Amino acid sequence: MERKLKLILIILLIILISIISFGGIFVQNGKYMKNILPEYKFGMDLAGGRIIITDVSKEKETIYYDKDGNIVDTEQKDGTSKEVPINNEENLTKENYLKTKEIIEERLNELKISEYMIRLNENDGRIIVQLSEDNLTDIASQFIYSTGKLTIEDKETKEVLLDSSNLKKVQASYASTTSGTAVYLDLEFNKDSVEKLKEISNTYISTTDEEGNTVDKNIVVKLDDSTLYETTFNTEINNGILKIPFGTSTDVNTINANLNRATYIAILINNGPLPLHYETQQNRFEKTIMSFENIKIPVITLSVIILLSLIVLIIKYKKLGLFATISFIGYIDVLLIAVRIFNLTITLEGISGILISIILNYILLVYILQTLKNMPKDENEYKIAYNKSMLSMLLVLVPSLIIGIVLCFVTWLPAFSFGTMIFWGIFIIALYNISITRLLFLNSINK
Amino acid sequence: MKKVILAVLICIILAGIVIIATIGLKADIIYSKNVQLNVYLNKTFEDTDIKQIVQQVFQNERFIIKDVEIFKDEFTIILKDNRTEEELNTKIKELTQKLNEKYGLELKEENIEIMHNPKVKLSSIILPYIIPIAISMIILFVYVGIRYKKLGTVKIIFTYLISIIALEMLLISIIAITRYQINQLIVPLALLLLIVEITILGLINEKKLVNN
Repeated sequence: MERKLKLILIILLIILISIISFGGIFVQNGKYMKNILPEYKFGMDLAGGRIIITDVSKEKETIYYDKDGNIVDTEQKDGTSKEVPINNEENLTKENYLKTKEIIEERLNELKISEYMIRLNENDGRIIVQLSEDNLTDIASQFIYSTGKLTIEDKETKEVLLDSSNLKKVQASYASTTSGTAVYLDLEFNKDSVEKLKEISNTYISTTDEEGNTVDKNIVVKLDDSTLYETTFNTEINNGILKIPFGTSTDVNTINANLNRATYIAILINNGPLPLHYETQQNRFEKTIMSFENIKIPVITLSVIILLSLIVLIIKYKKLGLFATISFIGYIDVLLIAVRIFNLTITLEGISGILISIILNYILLVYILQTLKNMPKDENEYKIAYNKSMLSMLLVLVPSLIIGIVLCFVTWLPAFSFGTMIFWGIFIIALYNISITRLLFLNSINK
Repeated sequence: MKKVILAVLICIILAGIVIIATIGLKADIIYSKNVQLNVYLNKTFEDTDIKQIVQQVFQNERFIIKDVEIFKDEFTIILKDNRTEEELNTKIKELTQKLNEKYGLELKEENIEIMHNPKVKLSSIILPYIIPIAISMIILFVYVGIRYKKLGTVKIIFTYLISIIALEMLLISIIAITRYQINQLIVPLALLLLIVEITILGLINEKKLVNN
């Protein structure tokens, strides 16, 4: 009687888990009921993503000359002007297109973009990038078309003193000061340019003229022609590192924002400038092609296979098979709840991971049923046999768990999704079958 | 019988290698050079209606329709890029007429934006998996070498290595021979087969251990 009661309670528990898995957990939230179980989170292949199309710029720029033929900023009286393409015809080569693609890929990888797909038209240099839609998408889209060229110029003459080719490394740093935490962008120059920077830091200083007025000789640090920083030097720089301030604050959010900004710029500069100027043609969200219509045949096929497998279990193992079927359904529900609770992102690889977990659980159940099939109906014997076969099966699952754990450390979303599903799938297989399935099987013995 | 099966499998793998080396693999629209037609209807549409119209225009051809943005008034059609500009323009004219008839619009051919998309390098799909899977395999071989020490460490590791390589090569060879188009389902399928295979190998070895 007690066994029957336990059995009923376990089955009711599984039914409850199923209801939660498919329905959710609703609590009163003001006038409405709110589901506290998070929604499923999907990756780019299932939720769609941002499509960014960039083309090699065909724009022209006007160059102004003074009457002596020197380049000047604005149109001069008696001067001349000439329109030249922003991208030199000679530079429109396949090598430069490939180099551009490579730099964009490096930028996106360093930015830790979880998922992207990149296409290059080797004939005209068009680059199409598909990105997953998240809080980094807008930053990433800028990284796709920004040239990322850094120059240090003389403010007066516009002479380029140093540029990206002189850099060794760029990184964000911070230091505590009396007015708060100061964030910097550290431009570390290569060996050959250390002397040049030293010379600049001694040349571009504030001096006093004969009349006692302060005369500043400034440098301007520019990124893609936008001014990042303008300064004169007070001290000589002999370590080859130029520190560009990115704000000082005592507020944590502001410090983080400054640090993020400096880090993003560091990533942009670190991978070198794009060899060509690009312009965005399109930046929009496109939904997925994975509608139910497209995947209904595999889904229906899989459902039929699972159903048939469960029928086979019941026919072959009778009562134990029925309990195994109930346990199997419960496992799927627990796994789906875990996917929602732990906010795991579902991609096609993730679905494959879920499917594998279900298959592994089925194999485990069959393995245990096979062991218990010819056992005498004795609780102790059952317990020993169950534990032994469970342990043996868990050891079989260790290699799959290894793959799952390693893939959990990958930033590439499809691989990460697969890894997390395998990890949680096997973890739940162990926990669920040691507790619920075991209780179901042990309480099914008729004394 | 075993030898016959083995010989057939080797033949399939060899044929696959030859096909991949000569013709290469066949990519689905999503990964191959494609043409994209962007249509802004400025009117809410039903997926089934659009699908029907596109089917009538492009008949037996494989195509993909995607919604653009969230307002359900813009969509894009993706097709293999295997037409001349003239042929494509004729199809666009037909498409415009049918959309105008259906939705009472005054859409012109020039309103449909044509974009020729380059192909995706198929290697870029599997590249992110190579290092993590290689690391997993090293750890896995260490584990099985220790766990099934009684069955012979070298033999076990060799069995795992050959079985894994053979199965994945068999999959890719079958795909190459059947000219199945490489799509987004191939990598998940390869991963699924890998896990199922190592589980089956584990079960076989556990049984051998018990028998020993």
